[in-house]
Amino acid sequence: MEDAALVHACQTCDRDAQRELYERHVDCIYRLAFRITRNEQDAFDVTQQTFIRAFEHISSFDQRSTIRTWLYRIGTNEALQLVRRRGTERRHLSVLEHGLRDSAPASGTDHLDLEEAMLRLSDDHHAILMLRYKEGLDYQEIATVLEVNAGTVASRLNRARGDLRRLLAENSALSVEETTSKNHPTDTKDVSRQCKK
Amino acid sequence: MTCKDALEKIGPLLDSELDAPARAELEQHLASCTECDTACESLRGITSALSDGPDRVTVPRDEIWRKIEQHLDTDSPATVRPIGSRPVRLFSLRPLASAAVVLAAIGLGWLFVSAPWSSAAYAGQIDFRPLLEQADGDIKAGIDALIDVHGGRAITRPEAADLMRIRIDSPANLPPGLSLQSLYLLNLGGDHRALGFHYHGPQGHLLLLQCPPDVEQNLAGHECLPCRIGTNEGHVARIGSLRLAHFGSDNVCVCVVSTLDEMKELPAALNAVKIDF
Ligand SMILES: [Zn+2]
Repeated sequence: MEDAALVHACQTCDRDAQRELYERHVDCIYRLAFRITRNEQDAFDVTQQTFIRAFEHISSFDQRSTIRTWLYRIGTNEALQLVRRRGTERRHLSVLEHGLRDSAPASGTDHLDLEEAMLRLSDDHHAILMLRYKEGLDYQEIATVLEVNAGTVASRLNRARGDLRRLLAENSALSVEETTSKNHPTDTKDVSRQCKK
Repeated sequence: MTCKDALEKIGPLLDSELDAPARAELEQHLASCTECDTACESLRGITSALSDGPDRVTVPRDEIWRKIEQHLDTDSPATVRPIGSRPVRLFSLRPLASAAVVLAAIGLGWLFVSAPWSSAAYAGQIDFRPLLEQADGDIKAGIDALIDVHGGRAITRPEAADLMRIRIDSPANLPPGLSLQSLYLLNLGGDHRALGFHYHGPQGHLLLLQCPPDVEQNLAGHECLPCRIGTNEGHVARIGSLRLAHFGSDNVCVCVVSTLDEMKELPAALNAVKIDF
């Protein structure tokens, strides 16, 4: 069944159709939620809430965007609201945990460097980079998801990439310092990584 | 092309968002400018690392579905309603009006139209476009333009009470530091009217519009998303700094126009308003 026909069936509260729509899109929504919240329990809650809201309000879905973009929009909103409600508390915690990690590579765009830098970005910048580079959305789709115009997407992405680049530079400067000063205790046993599996 | 222009366009180039002429112009610059070319390569490294990053999450599909299904089983189908008729919690609820009050309201405001609300034509239309033009500009001017396009005028509370039943009990002051500036009467077409309560304070603007249920809204194509603000469920369009939310019951639709912070300030403000639904 096409997405459009599926949506139509969902509008009549057809449970099989709801399940099918869920199965088709749950992976994307969960991963997006996980990337924005950086936490499995939060990703679970956001995904659940996204689909509940979607099913409750599917009659207002007007096919102007694809159902995937619509779900992304609800999911991004739910996830961003949750991280904003939490404030910076969790972010600091995550940065701290990642900060305990041993043997940071001294240079290059290593994935761990990158993740650490991503954790320090603002929620908005983090989210827009996720939508672009992890979810592969184009500017128009991101504009729809974030409810801004395409020009704003371009400038926000520029700022987000700029921040990321700056943080990466700071990180690698820090790593060089760390490796040159031998007096740096690292405890690798107690590292609990909330944000990574 | 200056280096500054070039640096701004490198991202869109890597994202394949540049049209052919812009792309050609930038590539020409990159071919002749080592600094920008280096910046471009460095950014390419970062963005491709971002795209390739490890992705090791397991999606608990069945567990999430069970929760969703539980919710659907307890709530549906009552919560699945067409847009425009959503009897949901409105701010701080006040007990339903007594029969006497309802009778008193007949002949006043929109209530004298006894036709079913299912027909949007009966509920009037509110055109938010003049306001939306100022979404990133002068909000006060936008509100004035909105009032203007509906032939609105400032009225006193007794006058409002005389003309139509007031369903919004609006204190003179609301958190966070908002004070009531004016009360407006707007024409929504036909016999339909809306009351506007404009609050302003250092944190921004809040305009509450008491409209007929199922009022038709022109949001210039901006889509409304399901939302929860405080304890209220409704729909919201987020346009620039503006939040345009509406919450409806069978008797009233309250449109909320605000530049307040959606997570803290707006719920606090709405919580202090009483609606006779
Ligand atoms: Zn240059």
